[in-house]
Amino acid sequence: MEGLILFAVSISTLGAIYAMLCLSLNLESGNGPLWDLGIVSFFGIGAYTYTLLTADPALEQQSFLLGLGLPMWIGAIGAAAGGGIAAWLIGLPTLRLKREYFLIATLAFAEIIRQVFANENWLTNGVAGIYGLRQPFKSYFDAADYSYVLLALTLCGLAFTWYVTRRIIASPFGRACKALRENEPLAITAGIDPQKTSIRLFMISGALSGFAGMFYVWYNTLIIPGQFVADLTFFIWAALIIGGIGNQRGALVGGFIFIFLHDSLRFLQVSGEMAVAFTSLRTALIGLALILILRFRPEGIFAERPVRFDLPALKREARDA
Amino acid sequence: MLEVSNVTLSYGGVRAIDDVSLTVAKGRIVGLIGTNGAGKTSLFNVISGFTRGDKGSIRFNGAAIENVRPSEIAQLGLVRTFQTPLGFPRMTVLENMLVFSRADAASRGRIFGRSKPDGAILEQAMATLDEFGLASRGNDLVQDLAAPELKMLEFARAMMGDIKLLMLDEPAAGVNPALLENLTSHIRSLRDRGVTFLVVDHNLKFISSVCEEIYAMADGRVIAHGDSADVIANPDVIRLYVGTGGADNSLSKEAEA
Amino acid sequence: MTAILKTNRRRCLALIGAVGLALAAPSVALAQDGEPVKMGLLVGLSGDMGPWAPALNNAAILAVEEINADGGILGRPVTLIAEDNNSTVDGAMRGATKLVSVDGVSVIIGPESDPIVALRGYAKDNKIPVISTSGGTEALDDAGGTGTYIYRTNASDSFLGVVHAKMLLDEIKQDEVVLVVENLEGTKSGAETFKRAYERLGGTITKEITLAPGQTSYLSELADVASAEPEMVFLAVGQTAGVNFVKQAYQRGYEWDYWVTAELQSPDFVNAVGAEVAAGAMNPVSSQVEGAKSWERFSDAYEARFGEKPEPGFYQAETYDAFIAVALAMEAAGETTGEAVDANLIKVSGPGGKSVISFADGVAALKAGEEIDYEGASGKLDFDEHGNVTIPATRLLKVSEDGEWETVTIVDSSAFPAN
Repeated sequence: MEGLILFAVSISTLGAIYAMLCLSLNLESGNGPLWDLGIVSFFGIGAYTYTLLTADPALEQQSFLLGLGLPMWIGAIGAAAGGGIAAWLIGLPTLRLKREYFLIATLAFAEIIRQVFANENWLTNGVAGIYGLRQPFKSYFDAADYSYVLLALTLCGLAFTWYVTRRIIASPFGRACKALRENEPLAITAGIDPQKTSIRLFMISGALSGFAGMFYVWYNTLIIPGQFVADLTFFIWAALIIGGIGNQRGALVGGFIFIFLHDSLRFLQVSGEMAVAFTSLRTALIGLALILILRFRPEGIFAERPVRFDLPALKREARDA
Repeated sequence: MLEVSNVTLSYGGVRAIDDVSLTVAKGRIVGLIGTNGAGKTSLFNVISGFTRGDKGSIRFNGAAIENVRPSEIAQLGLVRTFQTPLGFPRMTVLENMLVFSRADAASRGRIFGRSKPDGAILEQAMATLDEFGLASRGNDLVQDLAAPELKMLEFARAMMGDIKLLMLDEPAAGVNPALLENLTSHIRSLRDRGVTFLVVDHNLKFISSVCEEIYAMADGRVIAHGDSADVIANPDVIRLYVGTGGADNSLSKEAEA
Repeated sequence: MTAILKTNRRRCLALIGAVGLALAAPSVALAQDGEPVKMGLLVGLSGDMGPWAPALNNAAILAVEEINADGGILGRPVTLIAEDNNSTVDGAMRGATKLVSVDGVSVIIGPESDPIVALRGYAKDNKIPVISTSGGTEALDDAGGTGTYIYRTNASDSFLGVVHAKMLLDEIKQDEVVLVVENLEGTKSGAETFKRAYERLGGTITKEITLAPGQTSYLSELADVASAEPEMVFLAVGQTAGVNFVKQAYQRGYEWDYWVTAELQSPDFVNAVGAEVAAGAMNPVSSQVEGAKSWERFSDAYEARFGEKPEPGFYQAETYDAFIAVALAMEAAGETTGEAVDANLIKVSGPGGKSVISFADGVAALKAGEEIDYEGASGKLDFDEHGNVTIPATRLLKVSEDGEWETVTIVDSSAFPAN
């Protein structure tokens, strides 16, 4: 039983990281107007920024920039800043485009950025990656118990991301983003500047995704370009659609469900040669879930809910006043 | 309040707006009529900043706005509507109101603005909705509103911000006579509260009853200007509408009448 | 209509429920039976490594069946649990956690390069030996050994680079090549290690040309290669680009000899370009020395079990060896924990002690109180202090006129300079 719990802890940690990305994607693509197919870029840039700031200097056979060995909290800020700045740079040229083209452009940028990770050896140690990365507070705990600590830390990160995204969505800025999503010309007549609003939103999402990248580094203890391929973007989109796009809870749950679905088949033990055939079912299961969701709950498990205000209370207040 | 001087706009070789000048004085309700393709909507687009004119100047409350971004023009209090009534469909009526509110405009720049709208703002929104017969719809999604309700919402939300000049693009299109009365009275009541209007419409009866002053456009030019009654009686205007035959029957009938 | 929908939905729920129960069942069974020794295979059944993983899985099945046929480990039966690592790093983390925490395996065999590097900390923290059987990454060159819980039964890429260089220089006396590299992770690192070794050992790379992946035409690259007038072209490219490149070169009338890396060493490549075009292409693969009894024994058993011979370069022997060596380490220790394996793995695989080539022989010798040295199907399997092995021999393969990969010669490579 304890073993099962340990496994659950491990996949929950990854689920929490996915949920962070889902929340970040939901902020820009669910509540906001930005169809971002490059969310993996900011996740990757955050992860690399964190690594380069906090890792020890490169060994003889490695080559990567910095390796400053800075404290982790600086790395955390760096990860978020890295993601945000990257979003700004990518957003400048691409946010002028129409939605469909923005989508393609972000996808293309994500591939370019992955190529940079893979080819700029001086910066990232190329395809060999950087490994043996430290996990926070590891020395204070028994190695066997550490996975609980990591889960707790990741859940804190998730709670933070939840708080930030929820707060933003409820604010006038979030409302402006939603208005842009709904109808850009009309939003303009409300005095909302699509450019400024979008780039700001894109940067926040980028920063949150970058922040999530730090936890991914902790989880894996190494970083290689292959971790940041377009697959991940599509996984996050799938997770968000399963959970319910436009709904905070949907985004949160979607991340976990995606990972749980994906790994549940590990428990279906099959013998010998069957194992090979069986693993391909795993991706199929996700596909099936997606189809079932789209068929029976096209808005996801948690559909977007209208923001309602308590009118009777309002009237009472008005009467009293 | 609004001074449009010698504005020209060409699409390819066609002059959609040809050296148009027009003035809207504060507190007036000014109409703009013309056949389809006369350049009315193009002029709206240029004034509201959605399209850049080729030439000419536009001043709003003394400030040149011909090179100002449309969202900033809206912030200055010059707000337009669109031919088809629009709302933010998957947002509630109250949310729609808030987006246009002074409070939202003021704190939109902050990422962590207050997450619960100010009670006073909501009260104002509710009172306004009440006035426009939408009190019970506050928490409903705009996509669930009937067309007349959406029309009312367009006026209601205009009350939320600092709108100084409201440019209505064919407000009477597809509106039944009863609602039209309603519309007219709402425009008047808003005017009494300090909103100036520039109204484009085909419905001559509506225009002449609500407007004090009319500009008539044809082929991108202003062909007549003056008091409503004068413009409608203007032979050029009548010839234009009768001459275009079936292009705009309702209007020509109105003109003949 | 709604009624139908409802029944469908209910049926659907029932199905989900049934699957859920099925998922829960194995863990119940597991709690009742603590007897078998569990060994985990963690390979990329899905993802990039998908095409190679079944071969590793087969080798693992063969080894486990053999151990069980010979009475199991310390009299206990062995269960093989195969897990997918999705060919990714986080897939490896989850797969390993599932194998160790849920299934209770005491050893994980098979993770490829990136997955095993990701598991370094995990292996040590959980005292679970992780043994790669196909990961060439240079990151493991000095990472493993007793106490680290990290081992590898195949040769490092850096050693393969030396092998390529030595074979070119010594066996076919080719001291000038044009290097054509596809811009992919695997091919680039392979080309890099080769280049380093080749130039150090006196070879010259007259030109280096990079192919962008996914192009349909490589005509300008071909012209570039041709301008160097090469006799021999070293192709460090994947299947798709390799087929396009070689076909187009043939159509242009270039008659170069090709020296290829493991990526192209398959019947698929020959079939795709045609036997007459592919004929003459060469590739060295690691191998047991000619006539080694351990290899023949394994090869025969593999063929008997799966109806096909193990293919050189597919790491079946390396995987098989890892399982047998681990089983012997458990026998030697008298217990089946990960710690016992880590402490004894290097000891039982030699050098020194009685040379054995099968699990049964090893157990017999251990019972007789002897030290043993397991000689693997893939090679001597003498781990160095960093948990690495050298490959005893290199088999130079060449595509024959009728399109078969045939062995030209087998060279003793145990004395090749490491790196």
